[in-house]
Amino acid sequence: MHTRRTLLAAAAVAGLALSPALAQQARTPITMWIGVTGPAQEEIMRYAQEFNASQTQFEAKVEFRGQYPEQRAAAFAAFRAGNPPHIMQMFDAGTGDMFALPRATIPVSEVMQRAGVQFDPAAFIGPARGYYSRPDGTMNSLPFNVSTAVMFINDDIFTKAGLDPSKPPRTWPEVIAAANQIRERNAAECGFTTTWLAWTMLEQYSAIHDLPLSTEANGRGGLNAVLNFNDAPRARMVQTLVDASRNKAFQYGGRSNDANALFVAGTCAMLIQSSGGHAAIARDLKAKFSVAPMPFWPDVIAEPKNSIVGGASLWVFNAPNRSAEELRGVAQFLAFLARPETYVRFAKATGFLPATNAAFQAMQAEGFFQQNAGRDVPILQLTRGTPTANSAGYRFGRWTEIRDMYHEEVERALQGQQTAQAALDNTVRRGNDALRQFERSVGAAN
Amino acid sequence: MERKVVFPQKLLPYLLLAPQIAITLVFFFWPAGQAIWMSTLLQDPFGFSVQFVGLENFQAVLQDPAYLSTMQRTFLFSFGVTALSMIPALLLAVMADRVVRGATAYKTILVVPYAIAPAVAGALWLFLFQPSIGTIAYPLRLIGIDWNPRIDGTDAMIVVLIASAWKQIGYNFLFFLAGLQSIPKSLIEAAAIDGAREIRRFWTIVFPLLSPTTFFLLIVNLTYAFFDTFGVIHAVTQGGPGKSTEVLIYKAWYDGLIAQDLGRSSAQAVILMFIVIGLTVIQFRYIERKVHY
Amino acid sequence: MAAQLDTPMTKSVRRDWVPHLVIAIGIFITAFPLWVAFVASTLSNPEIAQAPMPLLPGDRAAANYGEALWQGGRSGRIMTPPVWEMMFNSTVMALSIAVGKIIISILSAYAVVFFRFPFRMAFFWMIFITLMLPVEVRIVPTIQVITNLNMMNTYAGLTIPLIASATATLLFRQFFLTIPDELVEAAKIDGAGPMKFFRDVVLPLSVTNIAALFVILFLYGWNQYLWPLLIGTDARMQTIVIGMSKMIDSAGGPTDWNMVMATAILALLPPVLVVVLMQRWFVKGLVETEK
Repeated sequence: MHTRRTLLAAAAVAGLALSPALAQQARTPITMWIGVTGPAQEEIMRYAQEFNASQTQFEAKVEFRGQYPEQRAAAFAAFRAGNPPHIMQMFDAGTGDMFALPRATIPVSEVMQRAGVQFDPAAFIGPARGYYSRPDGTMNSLPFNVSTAVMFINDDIFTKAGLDPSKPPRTWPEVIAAANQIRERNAAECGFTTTWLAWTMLEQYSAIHDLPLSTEANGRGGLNAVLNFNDAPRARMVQTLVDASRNKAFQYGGRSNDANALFVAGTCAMLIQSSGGHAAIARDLKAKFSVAPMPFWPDVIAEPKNSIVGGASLWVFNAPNRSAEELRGVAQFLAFLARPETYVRFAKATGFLPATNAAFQAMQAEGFFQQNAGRDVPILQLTRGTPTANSAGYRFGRWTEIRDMYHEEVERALQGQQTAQAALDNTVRRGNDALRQFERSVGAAN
Repeated sequence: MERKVVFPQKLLPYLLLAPQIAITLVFFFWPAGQAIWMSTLLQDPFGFSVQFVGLENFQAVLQDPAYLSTMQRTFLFSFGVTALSMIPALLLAVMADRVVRGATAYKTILVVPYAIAPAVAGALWLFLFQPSIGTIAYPLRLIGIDWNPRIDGTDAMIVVLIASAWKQIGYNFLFFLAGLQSIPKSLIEAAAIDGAREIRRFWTIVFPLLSPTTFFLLIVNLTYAFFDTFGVIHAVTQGGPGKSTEVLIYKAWYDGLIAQDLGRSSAQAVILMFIVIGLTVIQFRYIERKVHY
Repeated sequence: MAAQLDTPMTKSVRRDWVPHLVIAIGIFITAFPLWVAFVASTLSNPEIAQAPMPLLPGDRAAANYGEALWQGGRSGRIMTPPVWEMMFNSTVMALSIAVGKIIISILSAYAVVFFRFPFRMAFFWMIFITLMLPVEVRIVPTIQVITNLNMMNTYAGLTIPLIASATATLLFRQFFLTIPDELVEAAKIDGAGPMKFFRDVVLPLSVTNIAALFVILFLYGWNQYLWPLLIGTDARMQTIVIGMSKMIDSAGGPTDWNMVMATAILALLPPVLVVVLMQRWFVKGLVETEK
């Protein structure tokens, strides 16, 4: 009896989940899948509500379908089933896959043009524009949550260790010296840690030191790029981490965002982290902190180059049954999100960077950066100097997987199972296998 | 075996079978067929370009040192879990068999972990083994063992092994105890009169009589360690650090879902299919014998 | 083991304490992780962090369980929905799968045993073969099929594909073969049709088997991992087992262990209660389904 009633209840719930929302028939629905959680998710949801309230033709539906990789798998499956979401938020590492398969998406520039919506790629900050545009200037996806890697410093621990937090370490030798001093004086359990190991220690590191990740202009020149980052400067970085982990000057904090917890708990004195994590650090860390640019090796490069963007961008899927009306709605929703005021609000609420120059200037004009020390560090670091082929971003298929290869091999080096050089050699070998496989698989697709 | 008396209706049996067959076709046969077909293809994630490559994916997978070492690790892990859960269970069952009172209460408590999801069991043991705060890791640290499953692959392997085995002990215990209780006491007493010592009696009389149960449990536990421990590994170590706890199922999941390498992930799926078929055939051939007993 | 069995003590003394000691150790190993988890779920995080952690319950049980149930792991790295929502999802999953499997298996077993019709054995083997096709061997195509049918992130997608069951069908078939022919003859003479016979004779006779299966299938449904991981990617569709695993900080950083352990306890309580309260059926179910 009891079980039967519950089964009926379950069936009723299942029925509800399947039935479309009949009430909203009049408006054309625009679906967007996002892969972020926390404050960023809440903000995007809010913008969709505001968009819906601002007009009566379209209804933007923002859905969280799991974190980036899960969401991507779901979106690809939906594409194959002929029913992808209109818009998908794709993380930085997936960009190369999307570029290699242009038939799957419609460039944002084209979506806007077809709908007659004003859109100027030049409005976006250079690194974001470069990262998401084709060589001819067509913008493939809309930069949304833009970030780069910076170093956060726990001022209280620095003071306790006899260091001056107003003069944060600029170079790697200075970082190591500071970390050793922190350990010697027992000011903290660990000197420094990093989130997103491959993104910070391989990708950002290579850009600011003007070192190539591969041939073919970091993959922007073609799918036949061959990875070649197994050289002495990159191996030295890994070796430095291995050596520093012995006395806990460095503590490995996992492959993704988890090391953030080590910093906000006061376990580690320094953290290399996405600038998008600023708001969460400000909320959770019970100490004063400051923000510094990514450290560099002065004997490799005297004037470090710009770092590269991370985060995610918004892609518009191409599907056989898309109507002109739907694409018009997509264009209007994206234009709504790309307004300077939206970018300003998003940047303030999350710590991501304003994606357009107008938004950046608006924040400057209202004195945001004076009131919020350190919030301009990432954008200044992103835009410093003239970008080179090595600092203008990279474009590789299957980069998500290649990042994990780097993680695995470096983890083995940290366990003392192989040398730093061997870790990079193995990453490059395995990574090139994946690139060749990808090249073959998409070769006939376009 | 067949029934002699049956009902004459012609259409009704099809209707009764329809739901089961429909689900079987749509959710088992269709995707399994797809998996086999996809294992012979090279395609991009969106399916624009589909090239038939024959057995190339299998060749690539079976020549990949990473895959082979994962396979080796999976076998070691599976036999490790099996041994670690069966040996204590047998010991406990032998002891419980001698206890006249309280056997039921013991059974109730010992079988509790079997009800717990593998991922939850993993979390419980991960907590005990947390460096610096874990109730087991703390004394280890005091005696100078720098315990850290996050950084050390062997430590990580020990945690997933223990968690996976812990969950199965009660189950094995139940079957061993049932097996022991079905052995006629007269046999053992006869041997005792002959003056055989207890330990000898166990190995020469009891253990051989238990062998059907042991063999059955061996297969069940291997299957469990092979497939159902995905939850432990996904929740506790994510296959890391390095690749030190990556098993075959985890790799197939990662390559298919995260790396979007559809062809090679499907080739791995087909290899796994052969392993399941092997285990099932062994299990059922054995069951057939047991049924005729 | 050998040493203990072979000690040169007198038999009676050994009988008295060795088995009890060994079993006590076994029970300790079984219960210790559960006890520590329970204790941790009643402490504050600073209390847990001051190693060694106390081994007696603290005073934060109500606060911790309240926070987990109604707020979820919002303070952590990933926002999980309130645990009660995840428990609801798990309950829907476990009950739908258990009941669904029992219904479709008993029907198909009835068809296979009590009727003669073309392709009867072909259907039986089709059902049997599903044993060899667990989700693990068809991960990627499964997502595609569920997506094609528009069942991602729905209760239907989480449950219906899992209710086909070879084991339950085999069990019912085995049992139906033992129902005496005389009962069927009598029913036919009385003019009772097959469905009336099913309702009035077969179903009442199967109650024990159904109860035994229910316990096993409830555990199966509640403890699913890979399936909800693939199909329920939306946080609103998360089961408690998946939600708990997402609360663990995989870097070993300051995870909210009191929340994780409270959630773990809530995740293990329903299946453990089912096993303990329905012990008799559970043991029967284990033995029968493994035949």
